[in-house]
Amino acid sequence: MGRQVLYVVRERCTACMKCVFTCSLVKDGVLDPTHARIRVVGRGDVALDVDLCRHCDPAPCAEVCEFGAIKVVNGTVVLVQERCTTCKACMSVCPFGAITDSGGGALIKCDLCGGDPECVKVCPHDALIFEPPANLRHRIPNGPAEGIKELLGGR
Amino acid sequence: MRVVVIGCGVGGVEAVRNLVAAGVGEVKAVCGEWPPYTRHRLSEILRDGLPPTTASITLEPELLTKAEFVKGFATELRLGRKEVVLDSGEVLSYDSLIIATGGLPFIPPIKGAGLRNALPFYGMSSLKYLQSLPKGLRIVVVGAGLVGLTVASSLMSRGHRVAVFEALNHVLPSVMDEEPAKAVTAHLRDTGVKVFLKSRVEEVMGSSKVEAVRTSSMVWGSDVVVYAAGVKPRISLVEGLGLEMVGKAVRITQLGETSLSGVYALGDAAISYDYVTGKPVYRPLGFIAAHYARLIAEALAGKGVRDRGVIPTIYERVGGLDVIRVGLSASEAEGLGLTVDLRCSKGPAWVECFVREAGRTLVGYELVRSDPTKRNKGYEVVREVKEVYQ
Ligand SMILES: Cc1cc2nc3c(=O)[nH]c(=O)nc-3n(C[C@H](O)[C@H](O)[C@H](O)COP(=O)(O)OP(=O)(O)OC[C@H]3O[C@@H](n4cnc5c(N)ncnc54)[C@H](O)[C@@H]3O)c2cc1C
Ligand code: SF4
Ligand code: SF4
Repeated sequence: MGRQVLYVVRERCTACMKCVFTCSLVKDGVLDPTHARIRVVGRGDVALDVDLCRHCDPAPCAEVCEFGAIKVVNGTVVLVQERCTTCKACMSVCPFGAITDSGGGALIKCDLCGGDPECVKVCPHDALIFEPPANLRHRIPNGPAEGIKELLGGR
Repeated sequence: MRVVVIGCGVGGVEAVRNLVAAGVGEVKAVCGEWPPYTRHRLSEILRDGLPPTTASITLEPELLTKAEFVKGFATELRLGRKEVVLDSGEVLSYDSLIIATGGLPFIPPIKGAGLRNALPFYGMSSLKYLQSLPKGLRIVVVGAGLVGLTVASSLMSRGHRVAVFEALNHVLPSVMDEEPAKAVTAHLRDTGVKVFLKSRVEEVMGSSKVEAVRTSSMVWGSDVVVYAAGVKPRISLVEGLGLEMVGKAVRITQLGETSLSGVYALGDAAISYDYVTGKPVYRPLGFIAAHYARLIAEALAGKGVRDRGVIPTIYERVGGLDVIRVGLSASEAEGLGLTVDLRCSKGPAWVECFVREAGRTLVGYELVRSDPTKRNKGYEVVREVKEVYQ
């Protein structure tokens, strides 16, 4: 199977926060949104949106990290915390605010749970979809083509 | 080949890591402070009340077995004999030397600067001291750069009464242009931080400990003074040894070598190169130290590397604001001899500026936002600048 992407159907999000709390619990063992790699935010015209790493290709964050702390493993952009010095260069170029401080400058970002994202499994409203790009078009009727293109680095 | 690295801050450790990865002979690092730590998260650790050890740099087991970290201070360089003398009397011989001694905080040369309760925010001891203070003190921060503003907001959230004094006419003078900087000042004032611009502190007053600071127009009561007035290269070890300097910083080539063959320097001790103009600059930033650490290791490993310099990629959280600058600000670009055009726009919760050279190439971007949904376009500078100037 080819590369899968995590797509957000923002119209379906109800801000139930299941993804957010599941993420912080699975990753850091706490129920605390600042420890989640996914965020539900209000965005201007649409009521809600979900912010998380798009695993860009090429990945701006990995390109500017001088400490080799951001690696691309099979298309997944991973932050290696032990190598990160919190210089925050990556945060200055991420278009999506996907790298955040979980406290004391320990930076976190989504790593797709090693290829089986927990947030997708718990979303009761089918607002998070993890599929190969080709499938997205029929999983999301009238799927916003632009959004999908952006996810794939414009291809 | 025997390589000795002097200093184990982010630059020194990163040099060791790259040298080990490249398989460059025998690597020894002289560490004036132990364990190594990163300054980059000191303000966040202060803000969140976490133990100072949170700043430690992880040294993976492989590094500890393949390189030797010598705890001690280098007190003398014998360049002719290729030796480093330590405070313990131990002498290390090298074939190549890397000077990674970092910087020292600049303390303004004013009356009372050395009084008790007046200190720079720079390393472990200042973090521990500020964490030990009881709530509710009056604290003056001297200097409104990134360090000054982040420490001011951290002290504010720890329950102190904080005033920032800046000699120039806007905050973040070496980071942002005036318009986005104004948004930062407004936000700080909203959160209760007093910000005084065009206010140079001329004296720290008090008999045995700090009681107030004085500018040309006022006296401001204070229990603690925190200096955040910039960094200067820490170069006492090489002074008088004939190394070429640019101002007070060690001159290096584009690949990190000093004017003496086999002697390299990086980080806050040395200059670096600006990517857009190719000119030497002094930018004491951690990712720049790491950039040259990698280049020097590659050069010592015999890899034919080429390098143009660094595009600044700066992010800080100041209170509830994201402060972002990628590439050059208009004022820095002009200082480097470019003719630029600065265009800023504003939304309810953000200010964004684009700096273009000759009306075309995007050479800089500045964003101040409290709204996380405002898209950050910083990466466009990296992409465009690399395409045009490569
Ligand atoms: C509060 C604060 C926050 C910052 N935040 C950021 C940030 O978010 N992003 C960023 O990019 N930059 C940041 N910086 C700047 C960054 O910390 C420096 O640019 C970086 O540490 C420089 O690395 P260095 O290795 O050259 O020097 P340092 O990290 O200062 O390390 C030098 C080391 O050498 C040791 N040493 C000196 N002389 C000797 C000797 N003779 N023998 C043995 N050891 C010696 C010193 O004790 C020190 O441990 C921040 C700085 C401060 C103060
Ligand atoms: S962290 Fe940001 S820049 Fe990096 S891959 Fe994710 S979305 Fe892209
Ligand atoms: S903050 Fe960490 S991951 Fe980001 S660029 Fe710096 S070292 Fe790399």
